[in-house]
Amino acid sequence: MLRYAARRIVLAVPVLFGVSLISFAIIHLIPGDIVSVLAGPTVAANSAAAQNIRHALNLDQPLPVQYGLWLLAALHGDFGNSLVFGFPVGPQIAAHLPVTLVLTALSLIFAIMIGLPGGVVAATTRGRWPDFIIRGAGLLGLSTPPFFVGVTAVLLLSIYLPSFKTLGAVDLAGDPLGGLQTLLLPAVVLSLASATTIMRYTRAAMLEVLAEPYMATARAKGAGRARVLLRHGLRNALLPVVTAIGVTAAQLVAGAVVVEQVFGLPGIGQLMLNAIYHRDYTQVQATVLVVTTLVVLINIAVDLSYYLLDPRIQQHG
Amino acid sequence: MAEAQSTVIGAPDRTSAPLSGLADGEESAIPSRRLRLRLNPPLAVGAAMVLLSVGLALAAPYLTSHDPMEIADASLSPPSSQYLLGTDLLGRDVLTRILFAARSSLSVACLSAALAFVSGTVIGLVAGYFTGLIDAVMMRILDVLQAFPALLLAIALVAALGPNLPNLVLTMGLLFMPRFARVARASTLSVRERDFIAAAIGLGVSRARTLYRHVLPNIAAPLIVEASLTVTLAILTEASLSFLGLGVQPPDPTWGGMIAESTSVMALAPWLALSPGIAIVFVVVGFNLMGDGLRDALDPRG
Repeated sequence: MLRYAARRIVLAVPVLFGVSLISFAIIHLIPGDIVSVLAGPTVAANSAAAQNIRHALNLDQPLPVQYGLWLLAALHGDFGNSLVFGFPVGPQIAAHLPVTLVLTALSLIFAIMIGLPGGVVAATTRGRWPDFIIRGAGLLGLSTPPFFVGVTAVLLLSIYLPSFKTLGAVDLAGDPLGGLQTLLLPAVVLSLASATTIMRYTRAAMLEVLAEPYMATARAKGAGRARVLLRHGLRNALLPVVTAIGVTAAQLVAGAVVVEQVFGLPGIGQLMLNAIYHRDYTQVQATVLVVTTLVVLINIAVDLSYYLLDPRIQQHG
Repeated sequence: MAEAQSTVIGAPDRTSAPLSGLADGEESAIPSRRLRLRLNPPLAVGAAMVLLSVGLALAAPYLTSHDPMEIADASLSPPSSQYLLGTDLLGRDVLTRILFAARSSLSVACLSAALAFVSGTVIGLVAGYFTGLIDAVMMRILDVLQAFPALLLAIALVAALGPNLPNLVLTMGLLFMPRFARVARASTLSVRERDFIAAAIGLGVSRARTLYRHVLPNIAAPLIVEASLTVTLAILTEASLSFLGLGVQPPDPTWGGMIAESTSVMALAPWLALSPGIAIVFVVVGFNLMGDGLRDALDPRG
């Protein structure tokens, strides 16, 4: 286990290195002179003030040195200072991360709750109406942008259920229950596309397992239908579903950025978009780096859980 | 994440599809087992929906008597015979704007998918055919690109480069390129072991020609399926970016932008959010059905 985990983590190092390179590059992709973009042409022409900004951003150093300094600081948890407000951007991310993480986790739970039974039912009724209805719903789930579902949900609830609190401040530390309640609707909205992904994986995996000889054996030895389905079928079909959960994690984080905007939630998405509107590029850069690193770590965790779930990997891996 | 695409891969080994038109009308080293594209219901319905959307987008100027920027003295008027889907806050005809938005959404989506298709296929072909160090380096680069949550990187890149049509196409093309590269590489790896490739090499056919004439036609089927599904992602990504104000800029109409504008007047004019949303769902369902249908039609195992 340890060796497998160590190998998986070592493999992630070059990926994280590449991720840091691209995150670093974001600020250098801005067309034109960065200082005049940030502070206006008047300041950029004033050499002393411009020189201060250049120095604060290490822009007076060669590019590789800039990258090295930036990465070294980032590894120590220092992601630089906001170009607009002056304070460090790291704590800002830490302050906005919990809402996004709770939203994503809740959505994942909903996606599994909808997708897993959906996939099992669709597979066992293959070619009949429940299968068609579930796959049709899945097609809609995959084809509808989450922000449209969100806007429609807010609209419908405000008409038919005005007492339901759709928008509101989230204070997870001070009022965890109220915060969770506010996150409930956004989480359901966010979960639909991922629920479809999980449903499709579950259905495909179940269909494959249902055709296995050991399923016939289980039935022949007199095991009940539910037992055969869940103990012999679903248990063996779960592995691809874990893959789906890994795929879904990135999908959910990206979706959260938009859904937060619909519901006015103070998460990573809001932080990032506000930073973009303020042209606060160090904040954008740091947010992309931190969130992507988290997603890479989640995928490592998913891979490690394969190892625990599937004895075959333990022999070969 | 490569597993996610495994359903698309694997089709090539028995398809000698002149589908892309690349090998059309010419003698090929492959025993010609012409691929029949059997029309299945999802393919027919999906293709019809896509053709209808594209047709409406192309014919937009002839279908409406209004201009997408024309500001009438009728803010937020409900649907009527003059304004079939009503007007927005500035008094612009919603139906006209939806039709014209289809033009920018579909062209951004199709151009970025095409960019991803071409660049990804070249990278996948080269990596899969030559293997070794080239392959390893290219695959690590794809790993890095795919490590980012796609929309997050799209937002950051578009914000840095500036939100306009070429930058949208470029960013989204880059984001979707790895999908094609992986499919092309996996298919190439299986095709390159086959006898007709050895025969082509033995006949002294150049590498570039071998790749273009003998490998490419044999890996076309899964790539075409991938293209159809990538367009759906591209439309949804473009809609999300526009919704966030990072897509094609106002006053040019976009579906996502129209939904964003509608949220401020939702209580007064609830119909405003619905019609552009339905337009997005219609087009994306069409491309999704077409992709699923193509997969069934092109998969020799099916």
